[in-house]
Amino acid sequence: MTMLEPGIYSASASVHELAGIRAFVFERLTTQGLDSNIAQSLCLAVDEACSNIILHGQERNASRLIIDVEYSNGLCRIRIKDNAKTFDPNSVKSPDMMSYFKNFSYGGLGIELMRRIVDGMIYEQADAKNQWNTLLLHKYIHSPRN
Amino acid sequence: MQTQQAFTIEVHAFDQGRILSLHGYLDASTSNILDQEIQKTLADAIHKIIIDCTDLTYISSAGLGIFMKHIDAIRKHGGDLVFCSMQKSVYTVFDLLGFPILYRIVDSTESALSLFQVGGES
Repeated sequence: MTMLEPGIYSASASVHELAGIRAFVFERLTTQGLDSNIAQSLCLAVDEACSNIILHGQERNASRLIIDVEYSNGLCRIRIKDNAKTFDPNSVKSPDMMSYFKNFSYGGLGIELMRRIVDGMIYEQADAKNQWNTLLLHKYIHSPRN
Repeated sequence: MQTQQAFTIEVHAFDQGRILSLHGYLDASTSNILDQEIQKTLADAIHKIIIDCTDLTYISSAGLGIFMKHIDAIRKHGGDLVFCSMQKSVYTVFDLLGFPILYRIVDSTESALSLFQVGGES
């Protein structure tokens, strides 16, 4: 991994980078004053987003992830950039969990976990001007969902 | 919160069952270790399984998926997965998606053992 500058973390697209990514996000959020329980849940959301990029990256050719984290004025903003083929997590429908349990399904819950943790996910796909897809996760700390 | 310790499993036997004590973090980089241990347990025709989470510091959907992958086969053989001694942060992840509806989660290994003795699952 590489710390490009304070608050920005760059890692290869490998599952072996996930622990380092979580440690970075947790440290950044808690040193900026965020409650550790909320920081932990946001680490999970980032893990799920990055795992999704990495594990589906074999066909999407991800090689690099860049993560930056900000927390101020009651708003957490975590930006995850990747150079894989475009994939908007918002395009995935929420599963019916009762059917999921009844059918003993498995897999496919990462995006649902992200959805239940954060208040919004904004996806911008790479284009001719910008080689990076960007997923912005945001969470309002004073919202009723905390 | 997350330590950089990876993931290991300690295995202990009880009656016709097995306790898998998980240590470290369970994510997309380590979930295959758990998958292999459960497969090995099932290959030994053991279907009463206690997952001791005392030292499990973190779980993501990759870890949850391994339990879901095997629960149907385990219950079809009259067994079960019972979870015990979960740290609050790990329980929160199970709870976020409603997994306590599906699994029995208790506060100690003794409670988990007594569920198998009372329930009579084989």
